[in-house]
Amino acid sequence: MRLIKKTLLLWLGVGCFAVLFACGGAGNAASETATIGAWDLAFAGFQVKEDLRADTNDVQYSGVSVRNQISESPDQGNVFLLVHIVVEKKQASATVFYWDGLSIQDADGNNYHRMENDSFLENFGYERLMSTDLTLGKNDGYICFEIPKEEASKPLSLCYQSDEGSCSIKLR
Amino acid sequence: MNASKAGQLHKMRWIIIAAAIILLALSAVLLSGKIALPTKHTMAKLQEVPDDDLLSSQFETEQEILSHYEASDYTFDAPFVVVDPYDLNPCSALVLYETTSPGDVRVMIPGKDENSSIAYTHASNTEYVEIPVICLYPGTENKVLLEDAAGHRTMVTIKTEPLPVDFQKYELVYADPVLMEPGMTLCIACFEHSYTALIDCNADVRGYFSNQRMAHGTSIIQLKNGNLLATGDNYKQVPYNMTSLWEFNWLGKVFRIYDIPNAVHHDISELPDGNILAVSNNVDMFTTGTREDVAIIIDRASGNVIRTFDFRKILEETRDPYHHFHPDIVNPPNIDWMHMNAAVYDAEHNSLIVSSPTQSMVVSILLDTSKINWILGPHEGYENSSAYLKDYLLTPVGENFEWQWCQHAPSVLPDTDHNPDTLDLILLDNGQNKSFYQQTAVAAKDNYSRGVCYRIDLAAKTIEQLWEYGRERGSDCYATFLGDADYLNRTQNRLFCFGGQLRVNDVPVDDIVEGVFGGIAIRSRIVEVTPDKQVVFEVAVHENPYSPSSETYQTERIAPYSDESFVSQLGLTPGIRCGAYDDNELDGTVKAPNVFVGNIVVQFNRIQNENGRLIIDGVLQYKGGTYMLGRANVILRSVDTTYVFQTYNAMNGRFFAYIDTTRLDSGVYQISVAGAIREGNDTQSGTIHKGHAPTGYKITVP
Repeated sequence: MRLIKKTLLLWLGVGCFAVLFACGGAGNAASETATIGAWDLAFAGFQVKEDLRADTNDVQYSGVSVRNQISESPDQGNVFLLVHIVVEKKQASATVFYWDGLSIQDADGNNYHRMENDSFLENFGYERLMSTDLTLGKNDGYICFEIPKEEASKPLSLCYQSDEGSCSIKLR
Repeated sequence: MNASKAGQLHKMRWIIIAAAIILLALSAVLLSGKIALPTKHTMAKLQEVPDDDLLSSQFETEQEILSHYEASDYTFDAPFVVVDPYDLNPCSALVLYETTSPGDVRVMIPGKDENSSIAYTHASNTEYVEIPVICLYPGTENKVLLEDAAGHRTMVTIKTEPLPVDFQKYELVYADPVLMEPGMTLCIACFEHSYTALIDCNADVRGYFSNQRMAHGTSIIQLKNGNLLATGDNYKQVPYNMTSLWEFNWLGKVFRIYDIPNAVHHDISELPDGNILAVSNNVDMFTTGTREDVAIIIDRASGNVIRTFDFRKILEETRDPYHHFHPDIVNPPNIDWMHMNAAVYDAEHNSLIVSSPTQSMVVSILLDTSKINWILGPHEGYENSSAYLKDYLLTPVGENFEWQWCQHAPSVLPDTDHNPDTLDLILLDNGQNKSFYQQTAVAAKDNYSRGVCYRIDLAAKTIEQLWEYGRERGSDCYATFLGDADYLNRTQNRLFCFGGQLRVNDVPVDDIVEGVFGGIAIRSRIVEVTPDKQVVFEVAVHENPYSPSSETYQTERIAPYSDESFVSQLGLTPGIRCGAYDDNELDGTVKAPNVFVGNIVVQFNRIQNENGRLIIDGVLQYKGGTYMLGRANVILRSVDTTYVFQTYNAMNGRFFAYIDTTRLDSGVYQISVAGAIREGNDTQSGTIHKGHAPTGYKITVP
């Protein structure tokens, strides 16, 4: 009888654990929006990466596993800062969203512009925003900056400046 | 309390505890997400399949461009510029403005030199002007010069996207632009990991399609109305059987989508009456057991397939030459015995000429009766059930004659001898194996490909070799598969595409399947020669660190700008859809599992709701890897109803589903996939791993 009791209590414990486990949730990414003239700039999250790697593993009919690896690394001492933003033109107007006006500002006030060619983001599964100046629509995706590694853990801001105004959104 | 009552209470207590535990365990299972029966709670957590219809979204984009344009005053000197307006060709832009002096506009896109500069006149006669600008350099601030009818000039700076990092590398080997056929070279990708691109005489990219799923593995043609015609982006089968054709221009505006239930691959052409001749399949290719053995004619107005030429009824599908086209699958469900890669209309003889590289045959049949006229190809291997075809074989005459092997792209040459009994052809002789039999096959490292011109005497049933180029280049130009051969009318030059050059440590090999799956590099070489074999343009196409694939399926020398292709105005003419769908049917053989089980995982390359048509391009994985053989069923399950649909299954876990949800009962449906992979290469044996995986998506049927 003692053994049955113990077994049942164990199952009870397992059941409670499973319920608790199943009810667990995930956190939401922070988001903040700024309006500059006709444009809304929303920050939807960021990731710091020492490098980007993708690895596919296809097991062929012969049983041989074909592994395709690709990688992209920043310059030594730097990291990639992948910023997820939504840039949306809210009103009909002639204004353009200039990438030259967008930068990351570190704790010391240094500014970093978007990488000249961050098209590799797509190869690592990130939806990327086009790098030509935006003229219309809702543009939702990632862009990539390269910043010094030691700055990545300190306060960072996303800054935009144009003839219509400026804004600064804190990343952390 | 007596002892028996105490015992009963004790028993009762344990029954209650046991029931509670069972209830808790059930709740745990329910909450763990393993139960496939949807509830309001589980449905709420699912993401609705996104609406996406190319034609509607393009039209909405046009209206959005116009609304922003109308909000300000744009002039000839300060126009509104939209780069890549249809999100298809990043080297294009639309320039909009109002003018007080309407008239044609001269557009000049300066190149790196005179020969790579582009200029065209865009017809216009209104105060509102839309100028298409194409052939821009990627990753560049292009300085485009516009000249209006009054002779005023303005410079517009247009910045373009850099080329994607996985873009194939074009290396110019040699160019003599003076001797080249005018125009730019359209390089058509074969597989979805390469890009279809337009290059100039310096081998610089001047246009490309950012959507790699469309316009690959099939010829791209310029229609008489100036528009381009290419395959669309929905698969019936990998790697290039596509269920639609798109008629569009270099800005990316799609005017018409032709839905083709048979699917189209390899070759399309416009017939004199405007209808479209295409290389295709039986519409029920998954039950006939064969593929890529049908030519079709598509009615241009309705988009419907109005004629089919089934070559299983004309040739012998059991004839089995040695070649490298097939993956090593035992008991294959679908045999690509013919691999038809070209269909050409021979107007003079009202005949259809098709090419089968696996059979090393170019075959002419009468269009009206499908009776064989002749077969161009080596005479080996016509025994037993294919012996009857010997009667149609051509007899070689003359010196220096060599048969073609595993050829591509035959086309009819202009009649130069004015003899109605002769027909001149040009084609790319890939030369794979140079034998019907494995024992006598030529090794890749010792092999060569060539462009070759033949003259067929239809009355005498003889064939003569007129001209060839490539043998002298040896393995430099050897391409196991893919390629093109074009006669260029103005200069009489010939443009050859040695399209599928498989290389391991720079040594030629013939492992097509390994190349297609990315196991080894596929390179290509484009060569234009004069009639006396002087090279006037040569480009080597290389892989890059992101992709081993730099194949070129075909090349065309084209004039990208055509006035007729840019006459439509924004917001006036939405694209139209015609033809017929080939939607998946319900699968009565599979019962929808009630739980999610197994180590099967589903990833989507695409999932969209196209006006009530659920479109899925997915990949089945087992324990993190893909497997050659697999099968998937898509399950739509509401609280009240469950539907199990067939899919089109492809190799390495890929599957495609097209489900007409408008036929279903109204409701919200959870989408899941029941799938299985099989170890090994035998479809009839080998361990099977089954599973039922949630997808995280739902679709609402109104």
